[in-house]
Amino acid sequence: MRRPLIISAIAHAVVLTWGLVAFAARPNDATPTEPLPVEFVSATEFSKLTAGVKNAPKAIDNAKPLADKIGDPKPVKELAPKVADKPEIKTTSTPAASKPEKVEKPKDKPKPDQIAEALKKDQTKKPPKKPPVFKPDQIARELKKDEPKKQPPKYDANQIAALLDHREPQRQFAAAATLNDTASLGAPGGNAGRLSQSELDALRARLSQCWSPPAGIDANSKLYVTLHVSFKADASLAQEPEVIEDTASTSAVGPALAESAKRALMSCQPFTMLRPEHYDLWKDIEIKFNNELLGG
Amino acid sequence: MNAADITTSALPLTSSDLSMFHLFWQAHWLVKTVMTGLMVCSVWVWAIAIDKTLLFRRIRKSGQGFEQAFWSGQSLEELYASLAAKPGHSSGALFVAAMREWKRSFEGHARSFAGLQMRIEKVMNVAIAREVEHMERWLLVLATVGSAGPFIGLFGTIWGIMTSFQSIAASKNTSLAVVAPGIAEALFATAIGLIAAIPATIFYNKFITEVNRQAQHLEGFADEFTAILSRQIDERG
Repeated sequence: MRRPLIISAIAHAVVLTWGLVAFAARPNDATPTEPLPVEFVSATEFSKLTAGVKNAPKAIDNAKPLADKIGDPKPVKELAPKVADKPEIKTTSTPAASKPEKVEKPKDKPKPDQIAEALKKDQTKKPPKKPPVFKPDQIARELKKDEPKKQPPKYDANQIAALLDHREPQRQFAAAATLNDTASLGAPGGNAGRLSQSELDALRARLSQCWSPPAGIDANSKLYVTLHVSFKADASLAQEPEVIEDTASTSAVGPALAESAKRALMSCQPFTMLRPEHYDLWKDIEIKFNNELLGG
Repeated sequence: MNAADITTSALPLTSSDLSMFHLFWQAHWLVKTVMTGLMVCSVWVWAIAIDKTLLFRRIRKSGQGFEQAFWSGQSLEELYASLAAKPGHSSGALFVAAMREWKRSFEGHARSFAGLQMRIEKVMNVAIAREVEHMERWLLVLATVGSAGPFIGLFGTIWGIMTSFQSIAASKNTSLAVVAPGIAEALFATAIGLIAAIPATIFYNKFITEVNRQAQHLEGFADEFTAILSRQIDERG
């Protein structure tokens, strides 16, 4: 029994040693995933995002960069040294503009004439002796003389300066703490699946204008009435609003409150702030008249 | 184990520390005991397995050799003379035991044939029992390890899981770095339990079958030999 025991022990030792080597944990090479920043958008921000404002100032008029820095700007590390520190090459208009003109001005009297006259003289003197010699220079000059004077292209240094981009080439876009919250004209796909806050706000504002609550409703009262309102597609009332829930039982003012709310709805129709493309959403709605509506 | 203990044992453990050695070293002493015990069990199980394999191979070989000689028509006296010194662990041992009894009955000049057959049968039964006992020795260890090994491993597992939960409670954090060491410890204990138990169960089944087969074989041989001797007794008597 001793020999098998020794064999077994040795085998186990070998397996364990192998396991120590083979099952050593490898370093975790997986790159950590970048955390995705998630922000909560409040209802007001959401409605600003999705709802377009018709009379919003045009984006170009008060053009703001992608993001406005508010507060301390974060120091942006310069990636490359600025080249802009180099002495600028000044292109003043005078030398550049005058030089070509000088060149082009044919001031000098053409010499060929003198030579020709000399030749003529020679020819008259000794016609048989010297045959006319072919001179390429002379021909070239003759040709040049015949060419019409070219008008040099107008060169204005000021115009070129206007075309140049004056921003620094090393400029960097940087995201700032706050977004540019200039109201846009609405995102192309900005159709939220519910009435946007702006529509509800507009409806509420209109109703608070129209509503003349009975005496006894003030900022502190807890009275309210909830009406079920059906609209037609043109945003006028389809039928008389029904009272769903009210506080008529708790107060004598209750019925008067309901009546005043109905009157407000009847007198203010049609509610044009409700957009027809959302008709499904505001076809049947419930409106609660209480002191909040009164306040604004 | 208090909270500070757990955090120090749990938090610095990064993934690079999860080698087998570290797993063992950073475990609780109770889990260490369990692991060590199971490792010893495993060594013991394999030792038994090797021993039994060799034993059964030897038995089969000697049994075949003996039976060939036995049925070859060789004189039983001669066979007994050659085997008496080293009877082995097979039907040879039975034969030697029976022949010894036979010889004693005759050499004593008593000529007591009356109870001879019964005595021979008894002797052979005793021989069979001795042989089977020899073959079955240590097999109980295999059975025990096979059935209890997983449970012992499970004990270490539960202790490791408890460590994990204690780390969570201490650090108020359920990140992987807090939980992993305890879980790894737990799974390691389970693994060692299974490593010890699985071969034990397999070998136990294998060897117990072998023992039964050998016992059957011995019984058969004993019956045959008894029949031969009984005929002899009747002829002489």
